[in-house]
Amino acid sequence: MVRRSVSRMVAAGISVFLAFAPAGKAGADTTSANLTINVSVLSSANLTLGANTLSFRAADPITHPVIAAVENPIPVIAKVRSNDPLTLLVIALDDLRNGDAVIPASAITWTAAGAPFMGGALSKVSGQPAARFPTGSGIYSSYFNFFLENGAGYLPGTYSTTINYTLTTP
Amino acid sequence: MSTIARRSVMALLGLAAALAAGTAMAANDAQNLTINATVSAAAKLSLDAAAISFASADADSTPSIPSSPAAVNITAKAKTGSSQTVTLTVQSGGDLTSGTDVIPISQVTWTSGSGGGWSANGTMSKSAPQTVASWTGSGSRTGSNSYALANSWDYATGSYTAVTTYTLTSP
Repeated sequence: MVRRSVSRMVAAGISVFLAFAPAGKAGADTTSANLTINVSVLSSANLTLGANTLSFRAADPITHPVIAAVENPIPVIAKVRSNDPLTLLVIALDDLRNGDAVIPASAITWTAAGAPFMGGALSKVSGQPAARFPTGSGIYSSYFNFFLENGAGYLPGTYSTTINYTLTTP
Repeated sequence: MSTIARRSVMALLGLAAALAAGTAMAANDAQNLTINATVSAAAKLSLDAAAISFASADADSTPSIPSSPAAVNITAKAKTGSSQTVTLTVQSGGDLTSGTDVIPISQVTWTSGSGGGWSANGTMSKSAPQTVASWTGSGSRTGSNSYALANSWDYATGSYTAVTTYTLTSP
């Protein structure tokens, strides 16, 4: 009677073991999770000029009809990202002035060392193109050289104005 | 000895004999019950974010763009042998793409200050899984990774996407 009970217990124990044991050999387990990475790249531009001031020293207009800026050559670096072509425009906020004396802003010209930069003459009326950048992203660098037309009629004095560069889509 | 006394002694002897006979009939028996428990290798992995994003920024003022959210918390649970090495890896399904424009996925890096088996830093790869963490034996580990994108003016404008897969292996 006692032996029969024990036999039942052992049988029950074996049954439980068989019920919970895996069918095959316990193997490696691998699980995974995804992480999506999103990046937004918008249009942007950054312009760097190697000088904040241009200086032209007085000179005899006969011997020096054109005066080069002391700061020449001036490095220029444009960094752009754009879906559209960009134009670099420069405009003089006013003529060069010394009290009532005036030298027209258009008396200042510049040259560029290479494309996509270009030379031109300042204007206080409308922005003048100084570079045209193609669609896309990139870093462009060059040099500007500025010159002042030395007019015989300029009155002695210290003249100043401000010019402004703007990167814009056409 | 009186008759009554004789009968009492006989009764006691009879009882003693009966008790002795009962003792001789008892038996001890023992059987073992073996308890078996199987712990199979198991792995469970969870990230508290399904996606991270990098906003556009000036590459000069922000040469390295932090992600949003700033960090992803990772919980990895594994059952394995006491001397087995559990590994958590990450691999990208490809580069970051926006149409035909591409930002190499290797521009995305991560750092971790979690310690305890978590790699201090790493670089995303599309060609091979990169180890994020590893440890020996079973356990639950929690760490966090902070991601950064190396910014560049060379990137074309657009919205880029890549899907990376974290894999936890419990041998």
